[in-house]
Amino acid sequence: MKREWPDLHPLTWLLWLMAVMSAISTTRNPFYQLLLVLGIMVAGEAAGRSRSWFSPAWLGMVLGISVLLSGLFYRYGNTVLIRIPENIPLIGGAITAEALVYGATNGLILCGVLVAFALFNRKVSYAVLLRWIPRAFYPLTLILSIALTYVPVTIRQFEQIKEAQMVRGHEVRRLRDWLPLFLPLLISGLERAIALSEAMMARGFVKTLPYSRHNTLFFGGFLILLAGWVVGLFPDMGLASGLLAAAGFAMMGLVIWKIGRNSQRSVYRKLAFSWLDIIAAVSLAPFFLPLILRENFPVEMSYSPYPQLQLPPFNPVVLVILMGLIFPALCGARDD
Amino acid sequence: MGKYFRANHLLTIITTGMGIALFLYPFLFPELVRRFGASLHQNDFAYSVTGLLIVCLAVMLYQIQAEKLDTRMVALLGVLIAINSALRFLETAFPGPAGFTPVFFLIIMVGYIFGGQIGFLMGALTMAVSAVITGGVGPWLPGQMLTAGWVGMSAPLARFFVHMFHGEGKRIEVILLCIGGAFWGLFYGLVINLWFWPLIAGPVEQSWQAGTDAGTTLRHYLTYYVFTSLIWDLAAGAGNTLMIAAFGIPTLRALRRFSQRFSFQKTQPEGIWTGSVGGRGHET
Repeated sequence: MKREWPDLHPLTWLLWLMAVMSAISTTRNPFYQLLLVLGIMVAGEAAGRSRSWFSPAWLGMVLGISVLLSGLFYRYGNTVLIRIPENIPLIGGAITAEALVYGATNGLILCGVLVAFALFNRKVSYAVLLRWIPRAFYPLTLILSIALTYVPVTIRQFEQIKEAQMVRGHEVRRLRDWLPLFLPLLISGLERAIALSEAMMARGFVKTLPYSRHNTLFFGGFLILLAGWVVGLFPDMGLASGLLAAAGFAMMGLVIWKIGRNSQRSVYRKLAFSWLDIIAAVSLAPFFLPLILRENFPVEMSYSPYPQLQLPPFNPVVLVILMGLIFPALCGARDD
Repeated sequence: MGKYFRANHLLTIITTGMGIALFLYPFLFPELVRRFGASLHQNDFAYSVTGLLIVCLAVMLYQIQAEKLDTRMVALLGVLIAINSALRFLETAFPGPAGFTPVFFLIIMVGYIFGGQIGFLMGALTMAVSAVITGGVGPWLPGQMLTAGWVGMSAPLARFFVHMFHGEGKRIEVILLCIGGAFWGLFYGLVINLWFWPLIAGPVEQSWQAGTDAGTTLRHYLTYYVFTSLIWDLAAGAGNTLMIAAFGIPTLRALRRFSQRFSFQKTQPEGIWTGSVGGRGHET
């Protein structure tokens, strides 16, 4: 069924990713982590089927390996499940329930990060990712654009070279036999680079980043930022460290903004926010509360299985908050 | 202009040194806590390290683009990165062992011929492009970009030894690059593992433990590396060596020929009028 709603703005998807990462980093409760992974999986299914999506079997394998490794190698915990003879090197000793739960939590965190970024990569095109690079870095953005445009051309050319060599009777048996395929690909690529640079020069592309006081300000900002970080390593220097880091960051940001103003960028397809983006942003807001409120957050987020395994706490409020993760995927256009 | 270049080199050293120190945080953090009573929590520290790695990468990229990138280099890098990223698609077709990737071959070659800064861009941007086209953008990407950039940036170091043995265009040149390729095959994995090692669970003698001294942490890390990654990275090193040995000489020859075509400079003979028609031109 075709959905008539507009797709969400890429910035909403970025907010979604930040919400997931915030949730992953604020709790080690396996119930909440499991719900989070399930929430992302449901969001992925709601966003449409894609070949690059993770299958539950694959995630189960990641989880299983994490549990197995933790169980076999971690020797902490009071609840002994099995004892492997001590004379077996590396894995000899007690396998504890605490170690298995610890491994499961780690596996769930890894699965959460992988599926969250996979969904983000699916929903936000590379053209948008390139647009997010500050305009001050436009030569680098141009290199990335050229590279991304030429990848399919290069693969097509490789196939053509391969076919041409096969017609001549060339067979690939060992590594050295790849040379007649690789070298024409490289040389034709370099010829294409010369033609491209001449075309760019003919259209007036020039290097416009001369040495100026902006660069001194930018590098000065970097050094002040570093100084702020180093000061932060000492006790009771939080304020001074924060001020220095903010000043350095502001200097760098100012230069990037100022240089960026000089470079023009053509936008062929404007992305607009819709009312769905606002609803999605509101639904994601509670995810940032544990980071902001820290110890004052009303729901207990911390959990450790050690030294004695206990049932992790579960608050139904978390389930309600997690529903906010699925909403953006339900709103946006499907991939299939 | 001379001052600018000196300042730039100093900044490259500071940024690279900072990047290395950030990767080494699992060893340095416990020492900082012990000696200075560092007030940061471990999690905050990990986040700030990731943030600073991104800043270091941004500074390196900014500095190189301001100094090195002209139209020819933009076009050259764009096309070479496309070839290298395409090699990632085709890597299953190459008859290499598990862990082998053809990506580093071109990064090393380009760094060696065109210089460390172009090599850095080649490494860092190859990782960015291949992450975008394979859907691999993630928190691991800045670390990968920085490390792959170092692979390209360190490639011209081989020139020193090549000059020492008067080996330009000879077999010794390829042998030295093979050694570099083998080193980076191993070292890339060793550096990249450091990014996530403190965050993963494992045997006690292979895990990062808060409060242990740098020597013990190093021992734990090396044990972890030998058990989990060494064979993989040995295959990567062997793959790099084989590729450089098989394709090195013709690739170097091709890149050298094109580097001359890419590095031509405009010169103006004396007495040529450079002004526009009707403008206030001047004679040189």
